[in-house]
Amino acid sequence: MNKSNFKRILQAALLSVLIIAVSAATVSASENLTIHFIDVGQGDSELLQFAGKNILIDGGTQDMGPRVESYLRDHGVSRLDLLVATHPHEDHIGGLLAVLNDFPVGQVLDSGQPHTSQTYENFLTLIDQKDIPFAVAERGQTIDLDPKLKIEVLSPPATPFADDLNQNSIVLKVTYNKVSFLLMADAGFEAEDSIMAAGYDLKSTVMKIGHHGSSTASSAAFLNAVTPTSSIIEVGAGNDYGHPTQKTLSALQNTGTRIYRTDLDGDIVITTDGQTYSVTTEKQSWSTTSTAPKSAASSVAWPATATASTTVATVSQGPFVGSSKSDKYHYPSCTAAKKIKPANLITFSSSADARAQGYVPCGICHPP
Amino acid sequence: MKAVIDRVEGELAVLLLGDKGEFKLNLPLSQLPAGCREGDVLNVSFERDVVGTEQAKERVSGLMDKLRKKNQGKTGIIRGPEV
Repeated sequence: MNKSNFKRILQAALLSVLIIAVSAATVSASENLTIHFIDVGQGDSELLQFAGKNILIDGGTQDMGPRVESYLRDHGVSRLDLLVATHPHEDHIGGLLAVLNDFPVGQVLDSGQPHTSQTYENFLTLIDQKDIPFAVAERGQTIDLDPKLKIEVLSPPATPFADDLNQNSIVLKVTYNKVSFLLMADAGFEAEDSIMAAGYDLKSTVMKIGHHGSSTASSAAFLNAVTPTSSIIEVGAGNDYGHPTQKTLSALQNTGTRIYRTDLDGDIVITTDGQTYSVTTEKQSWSTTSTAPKSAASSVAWPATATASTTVATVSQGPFVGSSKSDKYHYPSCTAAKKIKPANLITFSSSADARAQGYVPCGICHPP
Repeated sequence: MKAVIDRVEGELAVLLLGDKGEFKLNLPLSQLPAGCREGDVLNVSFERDVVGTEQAKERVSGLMDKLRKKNQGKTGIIRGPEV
Protein backbone atom coordinates (compact mmCIF):
# COMPACT_ATOMS: atom_id res chain seq x y z
CA MET A 1 0.00 0.00 0.00
CA ASN A 2 1.38 3.41 -0.91
CA LYS A 3 1.26 6.39 1.37
CA SER A 4 -1.67 8.26 -0.28
CA ASN A 5 -3.84 5.14 -0.31
CA PHE A 6 -3.20 4.65 3.38
CA LYS A 7 -4.10 8.27 4.04
CA ARG A 8 -7.39 7.89 2.15
CA ILE A 9 -8.32 4.76 4.10
CA LEU A 10 -7.48 6.51 7.34
CA GLN A 11 -9.64 9.50 6.36
CA ALA A 12 -12.55 7.25 5.45
CA ALA A 13 -12.20 5.36 8.71
CA LEU A 14 -12.12 8.57 10.72
CA LEU A 15 -15.13 9.91 8.83
CA SER A 16 -17.18 6.79 9.52
CA VAL A 17 -16.27 6.95 13.21
CA LEU A 18 -17.49 10.53 13.20
CA ILE A 19 -20.75 9.57 11.46
CA ILE A 20 -21.36 6.77 13.96
CA ALA A 21 -20.64 9.12 16.86
CA VAL A 22 -22.99 11.77 15.49
CA SER A 23 -25.81 9.34 14.80
CA ALA A 24 -25.36 7.75 18.23
CA ALA A 25 -25.66 11.18 19.80
CA THR A 26 -28.79 11.90 17.75
CA VAL A 27 -30.37 8.59 18.72
CA SER A 28 -29.62 8.94 22.42
CA ALA A 29 -30.94 12.50 22.46
CA SER A 30 -34.35 11.28 21.31
CA GLU A 31 -34.36 8.16 23.48
CA ASN A 32 -36.03 9.60 26.54
CA LEU A 33 -39.58 8.56 27.34
CA THR A 34 -41.46 11.34 29.12
CA ILE A 35 -44.82 10.93 30.79
CA HIS A 36 -46.52 14.10 32.00
CA PHE A 37 -49.23 13.91 34.64
CA ILE A 38 -50.93 17.21 33.89
CA ASP A 39 -52.58 19.08 36.76
CA VAL A 40 -56.18 19.45 35.59
CA GLY A 41 -57.69 19.81 39.07
CA GLN A 42 -60.18 17.03 39.81
CA GLY A 43 -59.67 14.85 36.74
CA ASP A 44 -57.01 12.97 34.79
CA SER A 45 -54.76 13.93 31.89
CA GLU A 46 -51.49 12.32 30.87
CA LEU A 47 -49.18 13.01 27.95
CA LEU A 48 -46.72 10.38 26.75
CA GLN A 49 -43.86 11.55 24.51
CA PHE A 50 -41.28 9.38 22.81
CA ALA A 51 -39.10 9.95 19.74
CA GLY A 52 -41.22 12.84 18.51
CA LYS A 53 -44.47 10.91 18.94
CA ASN A 54 -47.28 11.81 21.31
CA ILE A 55 -50.15 10.04 23.04
CA LEU A 56 -52.67 12.00 25.10
CA ILE A 57 -54.53 9.96 27.69
CA ASP A 58 -57.65 11.84 28.93
CA GLY A 59 -58.05 15.61 29.09
CA GLY A 60 -59.70 16.54 32.41
CA THR A 61 -63.03 18.38 32.61
CA GLN A 62 -64.36 20.53 29.80
CA ASP A 63 -63.18 23.78 31.40
CA MET A 64 -59.63 22.34 31.50
CA GLY A 65 -59.53 21.98 27.70
CA PRO A 66 -57.63 25.26 27.17
CA ARG A 67 -55.15 24.35 29.94
CA VAL A 68 -54.45 20.96 28.33
CA GLU A 69 -54.07 22.58 24.91
CA SER A 70 -51.56 25.15 26.12
CA TYR A 71 -49.67 22.39 27.96
CA LEU A 72 -49.45 20.41 24.72
CA ARG A 73 -48.23 23.45 22.76
CA ASP A 74 -45.68 24.32 25.46
CA HIS A 75 -44.27 20.80 25.10
CA GLY A 76 -43.89 20.91 21.35
CA VAL A 77 -46.97 18.87 20.47
CA SER A 78 -48.48 19.79 17.11
CA ARG A 79 -50.06 16.40 16.41
CA LEU A 80 -51.27 13.46 18.51
CA ASP A 81 -50.52 9.99 17.19
CA LEU A 82 -53.15 8.60 19.53
CA LEU A 83 -55.78 10.00 21.85
CA VAL A 84 -56.98 7.63 24.59
CA ALA A 85 -60.33 8.24 26.32
CA THR A 86 -59.99 5.87 29.27
CA HIS A 87 -63.75 6.02 29.97
CA PRO A 88 -66.55 8.47 29.17
CA HIS A 89 -66.81 10.40 32.46
CA GLU A 90 -66.58 14.16 32.01
CA ASP A 91 -63.55 14.58 34.31
CA HIS A 92 -61.60 12.49 31.78
CA ILE A 93 -63.06 13.33 28.35
CA GLY A 94 -64.40 16.89 28.85
CA GLY A 95 -61.14 18.58 27.91
CA LEU A 96 -60.64 16.26 24.93
CA LEU A 97 -63.34 18.12 22.97
CA ALA A 98 -61.13 21.20 22.61
CA VAL A 99 -58.11 19.03 21.78
CA LEU A 100 -60.03 17.17 19.05
CA ASN A 101 -61.11 20.50 17.60
CA ASP A 102 -57.65 22.03 17.51
CA PHE A 103 -55.06 19.25 17.04
CA PRO A 104 -54.71 16.65 14.29
CA VAL A 105 -55.29 13.23 15.88
CA GLY A 106 -54.08 10.01 14.20
CA GLN A 107 -56.42 7.65 16.03
CA VAL A 108 -58.77 7.44 19.03
CA LEU A 109 -58.81 4.54 21.47
CA ASP A 110 -62.06 4.42 23.47
CA SER A 111 -63.46 2.16 26.19
CA GLY A 112 -66.51 1.39 24.05
CA GLN A 113 -69.14 2.15 26.70
CA PRO A 114 -72.07 4.06 25.16
CA HIS A 115 -72.57 6.66 27.91
CA THR A 116 -75.67 8.87 27.58
CA SER A 117 -74.09 12.22 28.53
CA GLN A 118 -74.16 15.08 26.03
CA THR A 119 -70.37 15.45 26.52
CA TYR A 120 -69.72 11.91 25.32
CA GLU A 121 -72.16 12.24 22.43
CA ASN A 122 -70.37 15.43 21.36
CA PHE A 123 -67.03 13.60 21.66
CA LEU A 124 -68.17 10.80 19.32
CA THR A 125 -69.77 13.30 16.92
CA LEU A 126 -66.49 15.23 16.64
CA ILE A 127 -64.57 12.02 15.87
CA ASP A 128 -67.13 11.22 13.19
CA GLN A 129 -67.03 14.71 11.66
CA LYS A 130 -63.23 14.75 11.58
CA ASP A 131 -63.16 11.21 10.26
CA ILE A 132 -60.62 10.08 12.84
CA PRO A 133 -59.96 6.30 12.98
CA PHE A 134 -61.73 4.94 16.07
CA ALA A 135 -60.79 1.77 17.94
CA VAL A 136 -62.30 0.14 21.01
CA ALA A 137 -59.90 -1.09 23.68
CA GLU A 138 -59.68 -4.71 24.69
CA ARG A 139 -57.30 -6.66 26.91
CA GLY A 140 -54.49 -8.17 24.88
CA GLN A 141 -54.10 -5.29 22.45
CA THR A 142 -50.78 -3.53 22.07
CA ILE A 143 -50.13 0.00 20.90
CA ASP A 144 -47.34 0.16 18.34
CA LEU A 145 -46.08 3.67 18.91
CA ASP A 146 -42.40 2.76 18.60
CA PRO A 147 -40.55 -0.57 18.48
CA LYS A 148 -38.57 0.39 21.60
CA LEU A 149 -41.70 0.79 23.72
CA LYS A 150 -44.09 -1.91 24.84
CA ILE A 151 -47.58 -0.53 25.47
CA GLU A 152 -50.15 -3.13 26.56
CA VAL A 153 -53.90 -2.81 27.08
CA LEU A 154 -54.54 -4.68 30.36
CA SER A 155 -58.23 -3.83 30.68
CA PRO A 156 -61.17 -3.81 29.94
CA PRO A 157 -61.50 -7.54 29.23
CA ALA A 158 -63.20 -8.83 26.06
CA THR A 159 -66.45 -9.15 28.03
CA PRO A 160 -66.81 -5.78 29.78
CA PHE A 161 -67.86 -5.40 33.42
CA ALA A 162 -71.60 -4.82 33.81
CA ASP A 163 -72.98 -1.30 34.29
CA ASP A 164 -69.89 0.44 35.57
CA LEU A 165 -68.00 2.95 33.46
CA ASN A 166 -65.07 3.33 35.90
CA GLN A 167 -64.53 -0.41 36.05
CA ASN A 168 -64.29 -0.56 32.26
CA SER A 169 -61.52 2.05 32.18
CA ILE A 170 -58.67 1.50 29.75
CA VAL A 171 -55.67 0.36 31.82
CA LEU A 172 -52.28 0.62 30.12
CA LYS A 173 -48.84 -0.71 30.98
CA VAL A 174 -45.96 1.12 29.31
CA THR A 175 -42.56 -0.56 29.47
CA TYR A 176 -39.30 1.02 28.33
CA ASN A 177 -36.48 -1.41 29.09
CA LYS A 178 -36.23 -1.52 32.90
CA VAL A 179 -38.67 1.26 33.70
CA SER A 180 -42.42 0.71 33.52
CA PHE A 181 -45.61 2.66 34.13
CA LEU A 182 -49.01 1.28 35.11
CA LEU A 183 -51.78 3.74 34.28
CA MET A 184 -55.00 2.72 36.06
CA ALA A 185 -57.42 5.51 35.00
CA ASP A 186 -60.52 5.03 37.25
CA ALA A 187 -60.37 1.21 37.40
CA GLY A 188 -61.36 -0.25 40.79
CA PHE A 189 -61.21 -3.54 42.72
CA GLU A 190 -63.14 -5.62 40.20
CA ALA A 191 -60.87 -4.58 37.34
CA GLU A 192 -57.78 -5.05 39.55
CA ASP A 193 -58.84 -8.62 40.41
CA SER A 194 -59.53 -9.35 36.76
CA ILE A 195 -56.13 -7.98 35.68
CA MET A 196 -54.36 -10.06 38.35
CA ALA A 197 -56.29 -13.18 37.31
CA ALA A 198 -55.23 -12.58 33.69
CA GLY A 199 -51.66 -13.31 34.76
CA TYR A 200 -49.91 -10.10 33.77
CA ASP A 201 -46.53 -9.16 35.19
CA LEU A 202 -47.79 -6.16 37.13
CA LYS A 203 -44.58 -5.08 38.82
CA SER A 204 -44.10 -1.46 37.75
CA THR A 205 -41.74 1.37 38.56
CA VAL A 206 -44.44 4.04 38.52
CA MET A 207 -48.18 3.63 39.10
CA LYS A 208 -50.91 6.17 38.30
CA ILE A 209 -53.23 5.27 41.18
CA GLY A 210 -56.79 4.32 40.22
CA HIS A 211 -59.77 6.67 40.58
CA HIS A 212 -58.07 9.72 42.13
CA GLY A 213 -57.09 7.69 45.22
CA SER A 214 -60.67 6.84 46.18
CA SER A 215 -61.40 3.85 48.40
CA THR A 216 -62.97 1.97 45.47
CA ALA A 217 -59.52 1.22 44.06
CA SER A 218 -55.98 0.12 45.06
CA SER A 219 -56.53 -3.11 47.00
CA ALA A 220 -53.61 -4.26 49.14
CA ALA A 221 -53.24 -7.38 46.98
CA PHE A 222 -53.03 -5.30 43.82
CA LEU A 223 -50.55 -2.82 45.30
CA ASN A 224 -48.41 -5.74 46.46
CA ALA A 225 -48.38 -7.10 42.93
CA VAL A 226 -47.33 -3.74 41.47
CA THR A 227 -45.00 -2.46 44.25
CA PRO A 228 -44.35 0.86 42.51
CA THR A 229 -41.34 2.92 43.59
CA SER A 230 -43.30 6.08 42.82
CA SER A 231 -47.05 6.60 42.78
CA ILE A 232 -49.01 9.41 41.19
CA ILE A 233 -52.45 10.55 42.33
CA GLU A 234 -54.28 12.88 39.95
CA VAL A 235 -56.68 14.79 42.17
CA GLY A 236 -58.07 18.30 42.67
CA ALA A 237 -57.33 20.36 45.78
CA GLY A 238 -60.32 20.52 48.12
CA ASN A 239 -62.48 18.33 45.88
CA ASP A 240 -66.04 17.44 46.93
CA TYR A 241 -65.48 13.68 46.99
CA GLY A 242 -62.87 13.21 49.70
CA HIS A 243 -60.20 12.05 47.22
CA PRO A 244 -57.70 10.72 47.98
CA THR A 245 -58.99 8.79 51.00
CA GLN A 246 -56.84 8.15 54.05
CA LYS A 247 -57.44 4.43 53.52
CA THR A 248 -55.78 4.54 50.11
CA LEU A 249 -52.95 6.80 51.30
CA SER A 250 -52.23 4.40 54.19
CA ALA A 251 -52.32 1.38 51.86
CA LEU A 252 -49.81 3.14 49.60
CA GLN A 253 -47.58 4.13 52.52
CA ASN A 254 -47.51 0.50 53.64
CA THR A 255 -45.88 -0.44 50.34
CA GLY A 256 -43.11 2.14 50.85
CA THR A 257 -43.87 3.90 47.58
CA ARG A 258 -43.20 7.59 47.18
CA ILE A 259 -46.43 9.51 46.59
CA TYR A 260 -46.80 12.45 44.22
CA ARG A 261 -50.12 14.31 43.94
CA THR A 262 -51.22 16.86 41.37
CA ASP A 263 -53.17 18.80 44.04
CA LEU A 264 -49.94 19.36 46.01
CA ASP A 265 -47.22 19.07 43.36
CA GLY A 266 -48.92 20.55 40.29
CA ASP A 267 -47.78 19.03 37.00
CA ILE A 268 -45.63 15.93 37.56
CA VAL A 269 -43.19 14.95 34.81
CA ILE A 270 -41.31 11.66 34.74
CA THR A 271 -38.45 11.24 32.31
CA THR A 272 -36.63 7.97 31.74
CA ASP A 273 -33.93 6.57 29.48
CA GLY A 274 -35.17 3.07 30.24
CA GLN A 275 -32.62 2.56 33.01
CA THR A 276 -33.22 5.33 35.54
CA TYR A 277 -35.92 7.93 35.88
CA SER A 278 -36.31 11.40 37.28
CA VAL A 279 -39.38 13.12 38.66
CA THR A 280 -39.87 16.85 38.23
CA THR A 281 -42.77 18.60 39.91
CA GLU A 282 -44.13 22.04 39.15
CA LYS A 283 -44.48 23.13 42.77
CA GLN A 284 -42.23 22.76 45.76
CA SER A 285 -43.67 19.88 47.61
CA TRP A 286 -43.34 19.60 51.37
CA SER A 287 -46.56 17.68 51.55
CA THR A 288 -45.21 14.85 49.43
CA THR A 289 -42.58 14.13 52.02
CA SER A 290 -45.09 14.29 54.85
CA THR A 291 -47.23 11.67 53.19
CA ALA A 292 -44.24 9.53 52.27
CA PRO A 293 -43.76 6.28 54.22
CA LYS A 294 -41.84 6.33 57.49
CA SER A 295 -40.88 9.85 56.56
CA ALA A 296 -38.31 12.03 58.21
CA ALA A 297 -39.66 15.21 56.66
CA SER A 298 -37.92 17.57 59.06
CA SER A 299 -34.50 16.36 57.93
CA VAL A 300 -35.24 16.67 54.24
CA ALA A 301 -33.66 19.64 52.52
CA TRP A 302 -35.78 20.67 49.57
CA PRO A 303 -34.51 23.17 47.03
CA ALA A 304 -35.78 26.66 47.74
CA THR A 305 -36.63 27.28 44.10
CA ALA A 306 -40.15 27.15 42.70
CA THR A 307 -39.40 23.96 40.84
CA ALA A 308 -38.63 20.93 42.93
CA SER A 309 -36.71 18.32 41.02
CA THR A 310 -35.64 15.03 42.45
CA THR A 311 -33.93 12.14 40.80
CA VAL A 312 -35.03 8.73 41.90
CA ALA A 313 -32.51 6.31 40.54
CA THR A 314 -33.81 2.79 40.34
CA VAL A 315 -31.21 0.84 38.47
CA SER A 316 -28.19 3.11 38.06
CA GLN A 317 -25.27 3.10 40.47
CA GLY A 318 -25.61 5.70 43.18
CA PRO A 319 -23.90 6.25 46.50
CA PHE A 320 -26.49 4.33 48.54
CA VAL A 321 -28.76 1.34 48.11
CA GLY A 322 -31.79 -0.14 49.85
CA SER A 323 -34.39 -2.84 49.48
CA SER A 324 -38.02 -2.23 48.58
CA LYS A 325 -38.77 -4.77 51.34
CA SER A 326 -37.11 -2.83 54.17
CA ASP A 327 -36.63 0.73 55.39
CA LYS A 328 -32.79 0.75 55.73
CA TYR A 329 -30.32 2.31 53.33
CA HIS A 330 -26.71 1.17 53.04
CA TYR A 331 -23.33 1.73 51.43
CA PRO A 332 -23.29 -0.62 48.42
CA SER A 333 -20.35 -2.42 50.06
CA CYS A 334 -22.31 -3.20 53.25
CA THR A 335 -22.76 -6.92 54.02
CA ALA A 336 -26.50 -6.37 54.43
CA ALA A 337 -26.69 -4.53 51.09
CA LYS A 338 -25.08 -7.47 49.29
CA LYS A 339 -27.91 -9.75 50.48
CA ILE A 340 -30.61 -7.63 48.75
CA LYS A 341 -32.20 -9.46 45.84
CA PRO A 342 -31.70 -7.61 42.52
CA ALA A 343 -35.47 -7.36 42.01
CA ASN A 344 -35.83 -5.45 45.28
CA LEU A 345 -32.74 -3.26 44.89
CA ILE A 346 -33.29 0.51 44.99
CA THR A 347 -30.49 3.03 44.49
CA PHE A 348 -30.47 6.49 46.06
CA SER A 349 -28.54 9.44 44.67
CA SER A 350 -27.88 10.78 48.17
CA SER A 351 -28.72 10.18 51.82
CA ALA A 352 -31.28 13.01 51.57
CA ASP A 353 -32.90 11.15 48.70
CA ALA A 354 -33.01 7.94 50.77
CA ARG A 355 -34.44 9.74 53.80
CA ALA A 356 -37.00 11.55 51.63
CA GLN A 357 -38.27 8.14 50.58
CA GLY A 358 -38.67 7.08 54.18
CA TYR A 359 -35.43 5.12 54.58
CA VAL A 360 -33.25 5.23 57.70
CA PRO A 361 -29.46 4.57 57.98
CA CYS A 362 -28.36 0.93 58.33
CA GLY A 363 -27.04 0.01 61.78
CA ILE A 364 -24.17 -2.03 60.32
CA CYS A 365 -22.49 0.35 57.83
CA HIS A 366 -23.79 3.64 59.32
CA PRO A 367 -24.19 5.73 56.16
CA PRO A 368 -24.56 9.52 56.63
CA MET B 1 -86.51 19.67 47.70
CA LYS B 2 -86.25 23.25 48.93
CA ALA B 3 -83.78 25.73 47.54
CA VAL B 4 -83.10 29.36 48.23
CA ILE B 5 -81.55 31.97 45.97
CA ASP B 6 -78.72 33.03 48.25
CA ARG B 7 -77.44 35.76 45.94
CA VAL B 8 -77.21 36.83 42.34
CA GLU B 9 -73.76 37.26 40.81
CA GLY B 10 -74.19 38.97 37.45
CA GLU B 11 -76.31 36.63 35.31
CA LEU B 12 -75.82 33.71 37.71
CA ALA B 13 -78.13 32.85 40.59
CA VAL B 14 -76.37 31.05 43.46
CA LEU B 15 -78.82 28.44 44.77
CA LEU B 16 -78.42 26.62 48.07
CA LEU B 17 -80.26 23.30 48.01
CA GLY B 18 -81.05 20.73 50.69
CA ASP B 19 -82.32 20.96 54.28
CA LYS B 20 -79.16 22.69 55.43
CA GLY B 21 -78.45 24.48 52.17
CA GLU B 22 -75.46 22.20 51.80
CA PHE B 23 -75.56 21.84 48.00
CA LYS B 24 -74.54 24.88 46.02
CA LEU B 25 -75.57 25.32 42.40
CA ASN B 26 -74.87 28.21 40.06
CA LEU B 27 -77.64 28.61 37.47
CA PRO B 28 -78.24 31.34 34.90
CA LEU B 29 -81.13 33.55 36.03
CA SER B 30 -82.67 32.89 32.61
CA GLN B 31 -83.21 29.23 33.62
CA LEU B 32 -85.34 30.26 36.62
CA PRO B 33 -88.94 31.55 36.66
CA ALA B 34 -89.32 35.19 35.68
CA GLY B 35 -88.96 37.63 38.55
CA CYS B 36 -86.71 35.40 40.66
CA ARG B 37 -84.58 37.41 43.04
CA GLU B 38 -82.26 37.12 45.99
CA GLY B 39 -83.98 35.48 48.99
CA ASP B 40 -86.68 33.63 46.99
CA VAL B 41 -87.47 30.11 48.18
CA LEU B 42 -87.95 27.59 45.35
CA ASN B 43 -89.44 24.12 45.09
CA VAL B 44 -87.06 21.87 43.16
CA SER B 45 -87.97 18.44 41.85
CA PHE B 46 -86.40 15.90 39.52
CA GLU B 47 -87.98 13.09 37.55
CA ARG B 48 -86.36 10.25 35.67
CA ASP B 49 -86.78 10.61 31.93
CA VAL B 50 -86.94 6.96 30.92
CA VAL B 51 -87.79 7.68 27.30
CA GLY B 52 -85.05 10.34 27.07
CA THR B 53 -82.52 7.87 28.52
CA GLU B 54 -83.45 5.20 25.98
CA GLN B 55 -83.28 7.69 23.13
CA ALA B 56 -79.83 8.86 24.24
CA LYS B 57 -78.63 5.24 24.52
CA GLU B 58 -79.85 4.51 21.00
CA ARG B 59 -78.25 7.64 19.56
CA VAL B 60 -74.87 7.04 21.22
CA SER B 61 -74.81 3.31 20.48
CA GLY B 62 -75.69 4.06 16.86
CA LEU B 63 -72.90 6.61 16.59
CA MET B 64 -70.40 4.21 18.15
CA ASP B 65 -71.41 1.40 15.76
CA LYS B 66 -70.96 3.79 12.85
CA LEU B 67 -67.45 4.73 14.02
CA ARG B 68 -66.47 1.09 14.56
CA LYS B 69 -67.70 0.06 11.10
CA LYS B 70 -66.02 3.03 9.43
CA ASN B 71 -62.65 1.66 10.46
CA GLN B 72 -63.07 -2.03 9.81
CA GLY B 73 -59.80 -3.44 8.57
CA LYS B 74 -57.90 -0.27 9.51
CA THR B 75 -56.11 -0.90 12.78
CA GLY B 76 -53.77 2.12 12.88
CA ILE B 77 -51.24 1.61 15.67
CA ILE B 78 -53.56 -0.63 17.72
CA ARG B 79 -52.75 -4.30 17.27
CA GLY B 80 -54.40 -7.46 18.52
CA PRO B 81 -55.53 -8.88 20.77
CA GLU B 82 -53.64 -12.00 19.72
CA VAL B 83 -56.12 -14.86 19.61
